[in-house]
Amino acid sequence: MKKKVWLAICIFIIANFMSGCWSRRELNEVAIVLGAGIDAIDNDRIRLTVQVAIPMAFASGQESMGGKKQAASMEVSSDGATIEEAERYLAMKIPREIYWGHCVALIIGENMAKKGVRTITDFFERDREPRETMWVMVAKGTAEDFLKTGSILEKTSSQAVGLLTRMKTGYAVKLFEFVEMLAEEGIQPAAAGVRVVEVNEASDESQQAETGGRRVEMAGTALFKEDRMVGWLDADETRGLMWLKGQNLKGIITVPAPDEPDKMVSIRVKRNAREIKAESVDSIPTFKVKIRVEGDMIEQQSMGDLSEPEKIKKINDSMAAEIRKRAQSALRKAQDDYGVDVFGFGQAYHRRFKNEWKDIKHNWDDKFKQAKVEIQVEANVREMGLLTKRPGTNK
Amino acid sequence: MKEEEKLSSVQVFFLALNFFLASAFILMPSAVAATAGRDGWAAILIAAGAGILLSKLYAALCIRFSGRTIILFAQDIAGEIPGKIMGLLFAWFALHLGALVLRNFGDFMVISLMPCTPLIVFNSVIMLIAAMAVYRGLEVLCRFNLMLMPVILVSMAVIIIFCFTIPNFDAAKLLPLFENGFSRVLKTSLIPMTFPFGEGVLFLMIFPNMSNSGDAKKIMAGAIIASAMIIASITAETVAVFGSNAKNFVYSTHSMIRCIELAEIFERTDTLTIVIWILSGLIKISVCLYAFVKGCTQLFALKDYRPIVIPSGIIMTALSILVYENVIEQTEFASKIWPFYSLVFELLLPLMLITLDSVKKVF
Amino acid sequence: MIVLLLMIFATVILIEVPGMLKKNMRRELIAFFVLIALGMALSIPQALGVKIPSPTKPIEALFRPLSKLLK
Repeated sequence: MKKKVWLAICIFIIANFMSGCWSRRELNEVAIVLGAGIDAIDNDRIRLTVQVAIPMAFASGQESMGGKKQAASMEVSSDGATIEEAERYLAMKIPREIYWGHCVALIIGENMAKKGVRTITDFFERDREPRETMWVMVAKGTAEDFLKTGSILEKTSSQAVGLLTRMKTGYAVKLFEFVEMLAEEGIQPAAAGVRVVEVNEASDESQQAETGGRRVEMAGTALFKEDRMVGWLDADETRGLMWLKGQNLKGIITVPAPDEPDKMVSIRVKRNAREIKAESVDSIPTFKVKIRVEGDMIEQQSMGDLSEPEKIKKINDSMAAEIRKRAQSALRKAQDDYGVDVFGFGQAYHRRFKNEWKDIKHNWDDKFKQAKVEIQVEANVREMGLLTKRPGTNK
Repeated sequence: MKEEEKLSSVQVFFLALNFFLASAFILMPSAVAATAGRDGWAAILIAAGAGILLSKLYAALCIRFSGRTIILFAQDIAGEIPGKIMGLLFAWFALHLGALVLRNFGDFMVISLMPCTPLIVFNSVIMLIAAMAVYRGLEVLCRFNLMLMPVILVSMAVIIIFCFTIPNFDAAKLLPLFENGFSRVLKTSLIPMTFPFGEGVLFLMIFPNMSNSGDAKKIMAGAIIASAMIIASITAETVAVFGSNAKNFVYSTHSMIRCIELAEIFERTDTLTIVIWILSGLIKISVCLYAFVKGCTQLFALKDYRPIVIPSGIIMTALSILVYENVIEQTEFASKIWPFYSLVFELLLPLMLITLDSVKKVF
Repeated sequence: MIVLLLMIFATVILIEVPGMLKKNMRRELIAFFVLIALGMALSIPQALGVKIPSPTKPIEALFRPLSKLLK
């Protein structure tokens, strides 16, 4: 009897919970945010732009019956004093509940970045819906404009930049990494730069009309001092920054061929790593950076036989010189022009000299301007593709 | 009344392991990072050493009064009335601890999973299961725990291994060691010593049911070492991923798991935390409830403990709702008050009993 | 809310009490009702929206001086 009563109670209780979730949200009741953009406008207010996916366009392929293409996303903006306030105003314009869980990119407009980003990153960490793994980017121009630009290959600009960053061609940083750089002493934040460019590459007119002749692309790196943006690195210097930070990078290094200096050889980078050794010479911070790079030779313009150890060594050397040049240019720009330590040299110093660090940590950036950095590159070509030498060599 | 339930050493070992791991796996990294910064893992290892000493004390008591729980031998040593007061205090500790764990459990679910669901829903559902487990008896609880253990340990192993793949992972962030002095780490170690390792004092209610209670010392030491390794490694990992930002999270383990994106396929694994949290939180709450119920039974010389299981569960649930008004009070209490408050029950009470007994023996 | 709570208490009493009466366990019965009363005292005011002082407060007051040691 007792057992039966228990069973009945259990069934009663479980049945209550099985019938549905407490605050469920069905797929057709939410507006999925793909990208968020934040711009500074007057009176210390911010403008939040969200790119919301239109599920119909994703479900039925791009071509609908009438032959007219349906937009895959819509962009809505609203203003507010805080992000959450702006989001509530957005809710008045979007008939569905805003869902942040699939937001891939946080685009910060240039003037917002210059004003300081500490005021806006908090919401994205504190709320449980946005993922910490979204990409943080600074748009040249406004973020609103950036998000409103379409993409031909991808359905939306957020997805386009999300995929571009995954290609690791430029410096990319996720929200939790960015926030850590903001919080940590001895390193200043850097974030990927993106921009809108006018192009004319669409193959037919309907595509042309859809994107408005505009396209999004990666554009260097934004450098920050504390939470304010101070300047840009261009694409080449961004490479240098990535070498110096040891960030994984997919790229090509092109060097003159050892036998015919006017012809080129291209090496595809496979792995790279860096190591910083901090020293203090006459109380001036001195750093020895060792960059290790491995790559495969994938293209040769010259006709000579490169499958000889000495020639490979020559290629290695010119590759190292090329990387060193890039790294130097990024270092010079950050150190001399902007005076920000985006590479984390301060951290290396902190780890080595924890007692001295206490005195200099407050003006580390000034100290960093005087710091001496020695860059050593060890480059190695490992593979040569499917050929040992070109057909016709040494005829 | 049923025959006395007997537990094997393996069962008690895993019960203790799960008991120590339960909420500490999620809560400990941020708790120690708040005061010890990046040296939190060291504080946990030190605390494990202290925890082993504590468990030696408990095991010594257990062996000296084999077959009797702390409620009974307190009366033997200190006399009936003082002993009963001690027993009452001990039962209160079990009740309060259970309520706090239950509150933590519900808070986590509300903060990270379902913000609109009232706290009482989570708390009462989990308490219902815990009460059922206790109602069935200690042996069932242990077997239930053995069944859950593979799931919990595999999930933890998956988390610990996959966190190495977070691109931001850099073990160098653990350097420099002991920047703010070693004394800071020592002070911090009081927190993990009293939670979770010292909470093993509740096992004084379970040791008498072991078929071989001589193993108690080995079992507790083993469980403390194993759980300390797991908690220390997850703590070190949160620092390696978040750097000095690790102390700013409410649940840094959970936040770290959210960052796993292995090969862009294995991502959004936060559910794993919730699996661990529900399964092991359930066991910890059950153990607390059992200790309270068993304590009351022996305190008031009842024949059977089962009739009071459900009322106790209701009390614990009600208490869990009213202990804190907000999450700030909770962190404040857990980090500043608990280390000293719990020490009264975890160290002072057993130590007093064993000294009294030794003194009595001499005279 | 309050109805639900009273229903829960009623079911618990209905399940447990007959068994205890049959076996004539007087002490258990007393303990059971004392604990039920305590549970009611803690939960019913909460359901009605009356604030009960948290037991954490006196504990905090008692151990607050010690907490300076940790800083």
